[in-house]
Amino acid sequence: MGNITRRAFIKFAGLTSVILLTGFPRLGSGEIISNNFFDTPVGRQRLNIIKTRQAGQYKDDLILREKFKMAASHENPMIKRFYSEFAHHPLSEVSEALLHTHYKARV
Amino acid sequence: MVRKVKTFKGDGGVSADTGTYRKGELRGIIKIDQETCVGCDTCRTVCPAGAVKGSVGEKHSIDVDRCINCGQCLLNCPFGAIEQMSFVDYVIEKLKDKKTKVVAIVAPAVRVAIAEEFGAEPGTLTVGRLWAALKKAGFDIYENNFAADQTILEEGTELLARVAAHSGLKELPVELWGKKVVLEVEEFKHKPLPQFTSCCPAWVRYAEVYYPKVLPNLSSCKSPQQMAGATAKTYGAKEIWKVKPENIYTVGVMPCTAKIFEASRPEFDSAGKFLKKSGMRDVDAVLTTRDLAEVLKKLNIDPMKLSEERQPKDFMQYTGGATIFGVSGGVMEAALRFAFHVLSGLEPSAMSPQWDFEDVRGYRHPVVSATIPVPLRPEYEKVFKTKQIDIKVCVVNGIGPEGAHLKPVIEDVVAGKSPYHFIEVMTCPGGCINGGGQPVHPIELGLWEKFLYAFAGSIKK
Repeated sequence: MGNITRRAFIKFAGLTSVILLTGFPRLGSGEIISNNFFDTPVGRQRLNIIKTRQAGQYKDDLILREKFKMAASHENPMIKRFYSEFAHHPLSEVSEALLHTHYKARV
Repeated sequence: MVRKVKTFKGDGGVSADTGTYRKGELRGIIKIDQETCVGCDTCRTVCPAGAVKGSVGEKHSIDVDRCINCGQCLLNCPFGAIEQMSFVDYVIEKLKDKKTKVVAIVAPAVRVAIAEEFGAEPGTLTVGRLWAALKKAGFDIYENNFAADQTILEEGTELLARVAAHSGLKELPVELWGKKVVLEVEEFKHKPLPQFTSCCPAWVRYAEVYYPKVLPNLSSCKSPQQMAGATAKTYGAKEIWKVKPENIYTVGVMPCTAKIFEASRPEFDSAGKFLKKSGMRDVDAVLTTRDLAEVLKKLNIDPMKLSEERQPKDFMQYTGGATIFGVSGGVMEAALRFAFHVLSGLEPSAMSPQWDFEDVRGYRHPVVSATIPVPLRPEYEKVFKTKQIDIKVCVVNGIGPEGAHLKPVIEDVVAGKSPYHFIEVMTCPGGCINGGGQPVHPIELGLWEKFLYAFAGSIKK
């Protein structure tokens, strides 16, 4: 075993694990499997967590609609108050100053 | 069981423009621990920005100039080798200071995940309990969901203004709460369609670094976190809480590591500019979901032992449209609910299926597109000279490794042949619920992998 260096072994171990963990990068002709996160082994492991958290979020949507009778943003009474007391209307001068921004390239 | 993520204290923003960072911004929010990394390459395969350096078997590191801070690497590292900059200690210090009003800005995706840090099943909805825990800890609450509603009003109206301007109109009448405002939309002719969402700070940075050509397509709206900070210190301080804005310390509680970067952007001091006070940040600190759990644990508070009852008032009020911001397709659906109301003039009851735009929900496809027919109210029929408008939308559910999912969509936009009006981009697959700041469930290794890494570990020693 003296002729296997530590570096080479780690590289081998790493490579094997990548294949086991994420699958070969491309399978078949043209079909890019690894590009869909949800079809990779890592993505499949995440999918259940994503699904349950997603269900929780839509459950909250239902609670808001059923119990508080608010589905769409303009139905929020505090939103109405915010605009009537302070910002006047969407895209107003106050809105532009506090709620909007501009972007700059970073190259 | 969730895994603890190692954290480190930030040492402040950069002192001058450095690479892709501007003066004052936090650099290196995500860091790979060189001791723990075994070079398995998982982080590189999930990085949307191609920012991970090093090939298989080598120790990996992050090219901070390319990094968009999304934290997908951290979330998916099987070895827990990736660390996050954290502000836990700063926030605890502020909570102790009785003169300071510490305001928590709580994001929607936090409420379906934080319970996991206290032993509950993933997806456990924690709203009342979370509010009670925050209050016990000494926070005031500004629901980021309320800010999401603000975002929809601004971003939805901006979309309508762009559509109207590109249909050749100079003015657009908008009726809200029985009152009519006539918006001048001519200037929106210079803002191209499609409009991109701008809620996801990792996506905004991605566009700034990799596709500056599409920046005019981004909605000019700040993200909900930043809208919340700016509103809390102006309207909130004066009209709701009646305190001095200087005494408010705003803390974003986010499922996201890119929000830490976002809050440090130099332009986000608009409350200070508005009030003509210098040196004031809109958002003073950001905690991830994990960080908040840490704060609560340090203060001996277990939200799961508190009551789930909710009695929202002031900035704690929010709608269903706001809470779905946490999932892929949520911002789009909320915007469609609002646009549908304004354009059609209809007011369906809260439970009506007319509010469900299921075609845009992300689920497991990387890119989702849909055409939403919206009937027009008589006034708009005349304006747009049609009875029904077809809104074409697209949802990018995760930018994808090295931008794989986003690139085709964005290249169509750059080439001027994109068919859409509105495009939502979420950097993380699934949306914010799967963000880099969420509780980490370790990636399970198979027996064979465990053996290999154990062996590699023993050789290293």
